Amino acid sequence: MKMKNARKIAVFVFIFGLLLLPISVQASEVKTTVEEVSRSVWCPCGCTMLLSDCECETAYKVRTQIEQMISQGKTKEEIIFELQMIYGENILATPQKSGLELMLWVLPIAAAVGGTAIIYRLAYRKPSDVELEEEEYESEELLTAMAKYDEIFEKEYQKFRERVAKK
Amino acid sequence: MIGYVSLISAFLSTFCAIILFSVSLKKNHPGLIRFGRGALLLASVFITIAALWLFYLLVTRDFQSMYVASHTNRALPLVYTLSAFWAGQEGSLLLWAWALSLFTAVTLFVDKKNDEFAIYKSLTLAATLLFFLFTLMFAANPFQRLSFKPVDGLGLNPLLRSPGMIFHPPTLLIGYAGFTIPFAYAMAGLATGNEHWIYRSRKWALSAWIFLSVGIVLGGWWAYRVLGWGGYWAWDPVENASLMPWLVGTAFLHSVMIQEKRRGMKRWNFLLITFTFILVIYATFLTRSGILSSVHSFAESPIGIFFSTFIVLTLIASLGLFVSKYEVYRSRNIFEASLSKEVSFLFNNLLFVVLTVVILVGTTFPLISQALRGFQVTIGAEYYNEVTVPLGLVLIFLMGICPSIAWRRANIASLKRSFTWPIVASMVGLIISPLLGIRDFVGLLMVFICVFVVASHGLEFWRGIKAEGKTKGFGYVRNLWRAVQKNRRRYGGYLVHISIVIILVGITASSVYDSSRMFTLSRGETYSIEGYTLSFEGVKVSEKADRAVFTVSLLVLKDGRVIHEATPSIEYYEKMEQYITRVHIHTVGLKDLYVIPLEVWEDNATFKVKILPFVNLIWIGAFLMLASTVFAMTSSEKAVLKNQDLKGNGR
Repeated sequence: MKMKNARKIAVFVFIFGLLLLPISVQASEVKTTVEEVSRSVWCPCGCTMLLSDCECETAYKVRTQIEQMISQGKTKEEIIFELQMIYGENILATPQKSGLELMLWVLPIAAAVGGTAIIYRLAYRKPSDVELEEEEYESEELLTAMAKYDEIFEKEYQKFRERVAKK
Repeated sequence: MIGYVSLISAFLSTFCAIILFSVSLKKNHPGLIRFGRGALLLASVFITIAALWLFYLLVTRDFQSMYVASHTNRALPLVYTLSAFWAGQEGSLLLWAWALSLFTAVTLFVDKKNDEFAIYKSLTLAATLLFFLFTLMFAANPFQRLSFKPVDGLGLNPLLRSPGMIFHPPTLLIGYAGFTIPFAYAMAGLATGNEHWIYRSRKWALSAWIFLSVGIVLGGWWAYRVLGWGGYWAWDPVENASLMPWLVGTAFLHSVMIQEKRRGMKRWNFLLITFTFILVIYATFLTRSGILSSVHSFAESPIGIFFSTFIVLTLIASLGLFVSKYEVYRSRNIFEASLSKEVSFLFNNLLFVVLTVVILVGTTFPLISQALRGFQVTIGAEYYNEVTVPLGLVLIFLMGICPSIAWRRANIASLKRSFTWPIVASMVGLIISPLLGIRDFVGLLMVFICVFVVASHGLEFWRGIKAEGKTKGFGYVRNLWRAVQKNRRRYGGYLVHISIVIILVGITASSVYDSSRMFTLSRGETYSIEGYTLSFEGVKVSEKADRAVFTVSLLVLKDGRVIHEATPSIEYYEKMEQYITRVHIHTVGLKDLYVIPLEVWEDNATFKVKILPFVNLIWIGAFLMLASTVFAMTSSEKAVLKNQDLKGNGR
C-alpha cells in the first residue's frame, strides 16, 4: 500500500515538474558578447591565458576590436575568423570542427559509443552462457588449484620422509 | 659534492638491488634477497642525505649552487627559501625520488616476506627509482656548481611566493610517487598470479589518491588566490596532467571493489593501475619539461627523451607481462544481468576512461598539431567544458545509482525501492528551484542530479540505521554511528560522494551565477555592484628589499555602512622586471568579493571586481572529501576481507 502511494506521488511530482520546466527555463541570450568571443581565443601577448582572463594591454586592444566587430553586426564565427586572419591560427582556443581538429570532437563520442557497445556485449548474455562459462572457469580453476596443492603436498611428504629416514 | 656523491651512491645501491633481486628470481637464495633489500634501504638513506643536503644549501644560501642561485635570493623569507626545493625541475625530481625511496623503505619494513611476490614488487620499485636517479644524475642535477660565487641569487618566481606553493607541489609529487607502490604490487601480482595484491595495495592506492587530491585542490586554491583571474581551474596542460592520473586512479579504486567482491575484472584492474602509473610519469614530464606552454612550465629542458624512453619501456614491460599472463590471469565473467551493480561500475569506469582520453588528447594536441602541421594549437577551456561537462554530469548521476543498485541482478521491485524517493526528492527540488531564482537549464539540471545523488545516499544511510535498529533497537543517532562504524569503508565512500556533490554545487554556482564588472575610480569616487558599494580611498607605495608595492585602499560598504577595507596591490620586482597582481578576497559566508587591481595611478585606479556565490563550497567540499577518504581508510584489512566474498559468491 505504501509503495503504491509512493508511486502515485512520484508520477504526480514528475508530471508536475515536467510541466513546470518550460516555464522556468529562461530563453538563452542570442546576441554575441565580447566575453563569449574572448573565451574562445587566447590572448595574443603570449601569456598562455584566455583573452577573457588576461588584463594586459594587448588584451584590451583585442577586446576593443571585438567590440567594434560586434557593433558592425558580425557573428561570433565571423569575428573569430577575422581574428584568426589578423593574429594567426595560434589564437584559436577552441578547436574547429573540421580538418585535424575534428578528431577532438569525434573522439569522445567514438570512445563513449565503443565502450557502451563493449559493456552491452558483456552485460546482455543469455543465462545459459553465464552457467557454461562459470562451469568452464570453475573446472579450470579447480584443476590449477589441485595441481598446485598436489605439488606442495609432494614436497612436504618428501621432506617428512627424509626426516623419518634420518631418525 | 656531498649531494652528488649521495646520488651516485643511491644509484649504485639501487642498481645492485636490481641485480640481486634478478639473480634471486633464478636462485631462490634468502641471503640474496636480504642483500637486495639492504641495498634498496641503503639507496633510500643516500637519497635522504642528498635531499637534506639540498635543504642545507638553500638555508645557507650557497649561491655557488646553480639551483640555489636560480631560485632564491637573500631577500627571500626562510619559508619560501625552503619551498624553493620544489620550485625548479631538479628539486621536484629529487623530491619525487625521495618520496619514492621512503615509500619503498616502508614497504620493505611492512612486508618482510622474502617470496617471489616481494622480489617482483621490489624490482619494480627499484627500477622506477633507478630511472629517477639516472635522470637526476645526467639531465637534472640539483647539485650543479657555478664556476664563480654570485653575491645574490635571481630569486623565486613571485607567483610561487604563496602559502599554496609551500604545500601544493609536494603533496602532488608525493601523490605521484605514491601510485608507484600499487603499480609495483600489481606487477608482482600479475607475475606471480597472486590476486591478493589488491588487498595489500589498497591503503597505498588510497593514500596516493588522497595526496593527489589534496595537491589538485591546493593547486586550484593557489590559482584562485594568486593568479588573479578569479578562477580556480583553467584546463591548463599541467592542471590536466594532474587530473588524468586522478581520474584513472579513481576508476581503479571503484573497479577494484568488483575484484574484491566478485573476483572479476582482474585484467582491467591491472590495466587501470598501470595506466595510472604511466599517466603519473607523463604528468611529471609535462609539468617539468616545459614542452607545452603553461603557467606552470618555467623552462624547457632535455629530460623529455629520458621520460619518453621510460614511458615506452614501462609500457613494453607491463603490457608484455600482461600479454604473457593473459590466460593465467583470467577472471570469471561476473556480468549476469544488465541491471546490476557490476554493470553500473562498468559504466562508471567507462566514463572515467573516456574523460581521461578526452583530456589526454586535448592536452597532447598541440604536440600532434606541431608534428603534423608545424604549429601548436593549444586547446582552451571552452572545448573541455563542452565535452567534459555532459560526461561529468552523467558520471555524477551514476554516482547516485551505483551505491543503491543490487549486486549480480537487480529487479524492477528493488529499483523502485531504491530510486522512487530520490526521484521524488529531485522533482521537489526542481519545483522549488525557480522560487530560489534558479531558472536556467544548467541550474535546473544540476539541482535534479545533486538532489538525486544526496537523496539516494541519504536512503542508504537510512537503511543502515534501520538494519541496526532491527538487531539492537537503539536510538537513531546511535544506530547511525554503529552502522557507519561497522562499515567505515562503505559509508566513508558515500560521504566522499556527498562531498563531491558539494564541490559541484560550488563550481556550478560560482561559474554560472557569478558577476563581474570592470571600472575606473578616482580618489573618493564609488561604484556599486550587487548590493556592495566600493569607495576608492587612495594608493600607498612601499619599498621592500626586492620589490615596490602599490597597495590600494578600497572601502567596502553595505547599506551605507563600512564593512571591510579591501587592500589589493600590484608589486613590481625590479630585478625580474615583472609586475604581479595581488588580489584581495573578502569572504562573506559562502560568497567571495574578489577585487583585482588592473592599473594603479596616484589618484585613480582600474579594477575588476567579481562576486562569486557559493565558491567556498568548493574548499569545504574538498576538505570533507579528504576527511571522508581518511575515515574510509581506517577500516581494518580484516573488516574489508570479512565484508568481501573471496569465493566470489557476491550477495
